[in-house]
Amino acid sequence: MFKRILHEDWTTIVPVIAFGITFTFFIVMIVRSMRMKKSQRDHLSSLPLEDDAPSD
Amino acid sequence: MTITYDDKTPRHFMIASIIWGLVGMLVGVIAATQLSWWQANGQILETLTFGAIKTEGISWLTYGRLRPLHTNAVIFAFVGNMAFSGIYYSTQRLCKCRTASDKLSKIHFWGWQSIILGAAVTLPLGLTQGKEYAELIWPLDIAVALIWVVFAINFFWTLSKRNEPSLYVALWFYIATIITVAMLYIVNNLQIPTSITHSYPIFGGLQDALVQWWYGHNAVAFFLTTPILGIMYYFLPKAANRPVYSYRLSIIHFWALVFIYIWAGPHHLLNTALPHWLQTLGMLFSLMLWAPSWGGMLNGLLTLRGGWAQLRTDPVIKFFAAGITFYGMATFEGPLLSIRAVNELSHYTDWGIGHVHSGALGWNGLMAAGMFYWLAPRMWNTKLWSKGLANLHFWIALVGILLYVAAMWTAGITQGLMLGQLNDQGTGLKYEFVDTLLAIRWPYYFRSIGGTLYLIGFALCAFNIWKTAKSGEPVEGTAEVTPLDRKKKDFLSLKAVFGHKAVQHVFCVVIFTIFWIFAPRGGDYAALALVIVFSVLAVRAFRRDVQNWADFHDRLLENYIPLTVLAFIAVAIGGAVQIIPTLMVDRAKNIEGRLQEHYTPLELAGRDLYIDEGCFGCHSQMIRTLVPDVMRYGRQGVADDYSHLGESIYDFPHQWGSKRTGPDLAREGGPATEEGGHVRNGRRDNLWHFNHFLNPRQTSPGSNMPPYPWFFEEKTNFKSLPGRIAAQRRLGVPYPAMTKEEIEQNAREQALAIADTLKASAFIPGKEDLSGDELRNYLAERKIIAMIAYMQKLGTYTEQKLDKEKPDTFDPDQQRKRK
Repeated sequence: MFKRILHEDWTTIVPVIAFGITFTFFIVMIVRSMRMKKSQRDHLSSLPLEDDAPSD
Repeated sequence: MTITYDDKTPRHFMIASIIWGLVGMLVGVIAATQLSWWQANGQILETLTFGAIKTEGISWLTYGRLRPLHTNAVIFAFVGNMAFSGIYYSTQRLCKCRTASDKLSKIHFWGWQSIILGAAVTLPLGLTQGKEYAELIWPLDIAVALIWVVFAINFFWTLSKRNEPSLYVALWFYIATIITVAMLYIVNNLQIPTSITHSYPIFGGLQDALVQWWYGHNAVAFFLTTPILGIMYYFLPKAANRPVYSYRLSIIHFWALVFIYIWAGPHHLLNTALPHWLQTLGMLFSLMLWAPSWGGMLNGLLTLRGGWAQLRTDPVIKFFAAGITFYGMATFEGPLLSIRAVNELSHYTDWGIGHVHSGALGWNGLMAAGMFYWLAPRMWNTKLWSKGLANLHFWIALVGILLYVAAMWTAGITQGLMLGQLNDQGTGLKYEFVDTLLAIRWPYYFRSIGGTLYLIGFALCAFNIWKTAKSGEPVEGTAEVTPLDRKKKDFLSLKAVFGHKAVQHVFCVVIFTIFWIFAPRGGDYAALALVIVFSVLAVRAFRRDVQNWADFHDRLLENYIPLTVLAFIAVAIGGAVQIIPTLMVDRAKNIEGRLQEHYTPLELAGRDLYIDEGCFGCHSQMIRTLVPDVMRYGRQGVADDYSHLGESIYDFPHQWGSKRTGPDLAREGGPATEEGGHVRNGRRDNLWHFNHFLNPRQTSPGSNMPPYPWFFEEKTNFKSLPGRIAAQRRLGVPYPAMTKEEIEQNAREQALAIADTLKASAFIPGKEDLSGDELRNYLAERKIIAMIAYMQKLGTYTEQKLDKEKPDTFDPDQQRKRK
């Protein structure tokens, strides 16, 4: 069995599946991020810039 | 209302990171130097003390024991503490609330430092699990798991108390770090203890290799990368005083990274006995990682758009910009090395070492320094003591890294090419292994110099931060916040998300797709039909509720629990698809062809010794399916003499290794020379091994291996063997039933038989008075004999023929065969 795993061309299908899954995932995430509202984007990206004051 | 942040915890973690960073890097420089001068393994103390200490080598100072100390110190102590510092500081600010529990923060801090201290003591003592980056013994593993849970509770509790509805992307990276590291650490450290300091992992051979590198690769991903990316997304905008270049890109960066990273582990096992489909998956996902990694790098660098002038004046920006550039370089090199053809040359050489150091020194180290220089003035309410010194640190560090990495590239490529070169007649290999080692001694010197420069730079950083701290007073930050109505955050319950029909249908689609791939014929068609049915149902369910789902992702940003669960699913899928089928089919009873002969009690003692000494740091036990490997390490006249999968099935843990500073040992052993099977004669005889451990240069001129004088003094622990063999039996190694006495007697008999072959010719310095039977009896008790027994057993196997139909459940090959 393991010899066959090493030598057979079973693996030719793996790249296609792998790429398919990942590509779909990429597309979904791109669509989701493109659909984000500008106001929310701006709000989120400004979060680190809200400053705090050191106290003693 | 006004809140006060807990800045004591991040401050403490920062100080700890700096201290442990110095220790880790110093040990690194020592270990690097040991590869150039074997005397640095302890013998040098004889020179330094003008002969007051007489030694050829000191056990706790040898490379094999120091290397894990170096890697663990840099990963878990230096970068770990740095990440915790950044996480505690930024999470509070992004959540606009103080960390949920000061007590838990304190337990986390002191618990983590105790674990590091435990590691710093146990690793040089040779107490190790023998798995790279997971060397810590089981009691420390349990402590790590407990402290990690404390950290997780504190973190998620803080999220639940937050006064800001939205979760900034840095927090997503922290969430992914916490859940994934927990998953990886627990699975890879499942083990059966045999004593308070020793255990065997529950996976062996190929299974262990796969689980180990699933863990090892993702320790890089989720311990050294994702938390630092979170830190980048918080501290870089802060330092540059401008928002991140593209928030959209950061979302894609996050999801793509956590989804893809986890699949890439098998690229550490290319061209080995690992099934080909797994190698292909590992290579492909590594190549695909390029995209999100570079997306993240560009997002970081472009955040500085319009602000590049700050590079000239602000050392923080300088460190961040260079750190992110190294992230880009390392994530370019990683996929490159994962291409199977490139990996033929690079694997097991110093190229890999260069790669990890461009990540650790360039990405982690420079990001850490940038963050420290930014945090210190704010933590002590003062100014950075010296910008000039920080700039000097930057340039020294940069030159150090470049020297280091270039040296390792040169060494790796030179050695890789030499190892595969044929002689002029084309009938054999041109170089002995030791020739290739001698050819790269200059790059090795330069590596030590590069590492030393980096260490000096970091010492300047430590001094600068110390002076900064002294010039100010520790302060806690405060902020005015508006308490948030609970209804405005975390309003999506898990039930609302996962109880929804559409989600359930999508889940079924994924499950049945996996069944379709792996199920035997007949079952796969049924699974495919179900995939189609559930796809239709899912689309219908989505369409019924389309408006609600349209902004599902937007709402996810304000609900940390569903976000965490989704991130967990994204990281768990990859591991499940790769590991579960292997666990199902890779059993001794399914092996066709070569099946490993299990170790005798004495050989097992030798093997445990091999692991304790960290021999796997320099020697592999895996002849790859490559012509130069088979020509160099395979036996003459034996066809297909690469390492077959069944040959290491009883190895708990596997010892395939990741670097060859010395030659591969997979075929070191050989057949028995007498009836009882106690004495074997492999590639080299017992006397050769005896002399080699005493003084490697006597048998292999030019070798950089340390001598092991304590093997000739310390006794083999025969008493521990029954417990260890009982554990091996539980793991499925087919030992016959033996009583404790029989096990010990068997080991002692074999030791005497091996020692008997040496009594006429062996010579131990300082024990000149021993000879004949006296010498034999002395040696039989000593570790050297157990070690020789193990060496002579390596690579022995029996041929197994399967007479029945193989089980076909989840066997990815079965359906192909029938077609």
